[in-house]
Amino acid sequence: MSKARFLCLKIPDLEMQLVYRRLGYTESVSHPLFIVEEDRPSTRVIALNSAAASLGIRVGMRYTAALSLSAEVQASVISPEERRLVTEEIRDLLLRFLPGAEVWALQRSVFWGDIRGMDRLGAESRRLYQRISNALKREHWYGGIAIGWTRPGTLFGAYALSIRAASSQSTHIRSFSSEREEKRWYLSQPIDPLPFNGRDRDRFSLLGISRVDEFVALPPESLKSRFSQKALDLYRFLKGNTATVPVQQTEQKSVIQPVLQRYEPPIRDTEVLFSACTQLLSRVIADVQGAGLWIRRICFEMTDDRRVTQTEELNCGGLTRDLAYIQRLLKLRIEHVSWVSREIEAITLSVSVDTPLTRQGYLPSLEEPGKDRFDIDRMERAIALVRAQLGNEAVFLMRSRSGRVPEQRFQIELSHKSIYTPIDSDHDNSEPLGPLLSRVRRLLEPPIASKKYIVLYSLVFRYTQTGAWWNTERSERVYAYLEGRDGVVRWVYRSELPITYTHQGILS
Amino acid sequence: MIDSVFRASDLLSTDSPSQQRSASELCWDAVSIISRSVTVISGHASTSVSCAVLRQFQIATPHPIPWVVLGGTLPYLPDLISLGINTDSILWIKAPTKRDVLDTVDTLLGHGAFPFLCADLSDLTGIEASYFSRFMHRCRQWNTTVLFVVLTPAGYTPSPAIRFHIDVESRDRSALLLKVRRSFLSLADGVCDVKSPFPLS
Repeated sequence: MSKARFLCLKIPDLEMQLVYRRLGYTESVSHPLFIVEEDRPSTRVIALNSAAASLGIRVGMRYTAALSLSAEVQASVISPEERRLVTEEIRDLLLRFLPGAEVWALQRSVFWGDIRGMDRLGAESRRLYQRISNALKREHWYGGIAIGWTRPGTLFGAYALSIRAASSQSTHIRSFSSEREEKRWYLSQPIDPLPFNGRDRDRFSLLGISRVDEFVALPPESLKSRFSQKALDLYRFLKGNTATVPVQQTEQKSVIQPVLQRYEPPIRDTEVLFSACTQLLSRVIADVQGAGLWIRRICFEMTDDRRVTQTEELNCGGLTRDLAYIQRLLKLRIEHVSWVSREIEAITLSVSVDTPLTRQGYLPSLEEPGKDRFDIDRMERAIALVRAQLGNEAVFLMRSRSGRVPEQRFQIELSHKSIYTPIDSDHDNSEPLGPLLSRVRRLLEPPIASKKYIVLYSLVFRYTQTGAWWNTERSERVYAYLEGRDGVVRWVYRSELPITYTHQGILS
Repeated sequence: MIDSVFRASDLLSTDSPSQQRSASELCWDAVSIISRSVTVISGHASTSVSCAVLRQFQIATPHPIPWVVLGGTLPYLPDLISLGINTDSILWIKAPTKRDVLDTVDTLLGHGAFPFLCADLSDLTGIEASYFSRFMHRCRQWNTTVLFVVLTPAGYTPSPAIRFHIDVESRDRSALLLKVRRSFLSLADGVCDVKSPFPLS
């Protein structure tokens, strides 16, 4: 497979451009105008033009408060559905020229195009990008287009060009000459264009973090605890392996229609219910295979004679078409669930499908076979069986958070979608001993003066104990068992102020 | 190396405070437990001891750890954090009955997806020895460690069948029955061997 190449398109002020197109404007207007999502007094301003900003209107202000600032100001409503349709329209426009295109989930005005192999066109490739620019112009869009090797690099390139595009109201194109130059350039860029929320921006400015290289140098633990999930997603995007994930080739759509089957006489037995569900499953799996898709979730809706519906959802724990495996999940659920209705008259089976290609987009880098015993597919399947037996809510993650009363200090998250994303995506699994080695290095800085020590490579255990434990003056010591290459385990501790290392003994 | 030094009899504690073993020795015990296949910890502060083992495992590897809890009672989260456990990497599984706990452990072990499992049990009575022999077999198959935490408030009530199976019949030191009659860890701010006041629902 050829190396990933990306085209990134950023449409500046997407909502404003949409309103101008709708109102018949093709040029920027001097009339103050702002946009809200709904025609309700309490809704918030989501975008505005410079004339409205000069009146004191800001993003996030309430609809009524913004209207009260001036009699001349106009408001326009753009629903989320309308925004979604527009982004799909632009993505389809890119798909007319490129084999793959997608909308960035973190910012809906950014689009990625797959341009692998386009370099072979030579000068023709530049003409192709110009044709994309012309097509955008015909549809009354303008923006910045950057061509490069990585997603972050092209993203910041498109950000920079979109500013120029907004002032000139025409599309600008830039191509990076080398991957190295691209990386060096985007790491020195400011983080302002990234879609952080206001609180995160304030904290970054308080910490003095303004550039991309400073942002990606932050430890992920502190990001998790101090910043929002979106900041963490952006951090993963900039630092993770998404730079090499190919653009989605086709839009993922559920082409498998739900199947409804009525039963006369009604089903009164779990054995009959199981065989009826299996028959429906066989039909659906045949459709799924024919469409080249894979099943992720299955939902059974069982309606009884009193029109009461009981819904049972099975998470397959990964993508599958294996009827025997799904039957096992189904059997576990049927055996363990308590049935509200005794007579089931109809069963509706609907499946959530996916393409295997999109799976690469969200899997963390730890899924590298042969590197470690941690197999994410096996884990997901095991958890899926447990969920089928005990119910979907039986498996969860628990987090602590700040709160006054004890009940508010917890956050329980059901792990329906992915149970691994919050766990380990920041961990570099390519070197299992990496974190341990880094701890050892920190522990032993500066190095022990004694020449008797050999180079240590693994930390067996470490803990901190106060001086009261051994009835001396209070001091902090870090104890460690360190195993050397000769197989001998040594017991050492480090005392603070001044930092000294003491050899306690050799363990056998 | 560890197996040759620590045997099950070495790990038994006494009721006398003068013979209380130091925390450093306990941590070595934690290392030895990880190297075993199936470990049952019962008695006072069994959760505290299991947390020490859990922490030891988390230091060694970044893998997520499933903890099968019995009923709706969860360990008190701030206590776990104060003991140095990374709670983000723990996957909680709520099983309503003791039988469900064992079935869940069996399912998780069968897939070999997790190198370390932790499960709560109300008591050890009424559990067939075949369960544990099956667990030990699967642990060896996948190189997995299972830690059962018996949540009895006091005392030590092992099943004679299990003790017979582990200690006498098989003479297999890959399984370990650890009796802990008193807490080795600080009970001031790290107590988590009592049932949590925080219910799930």
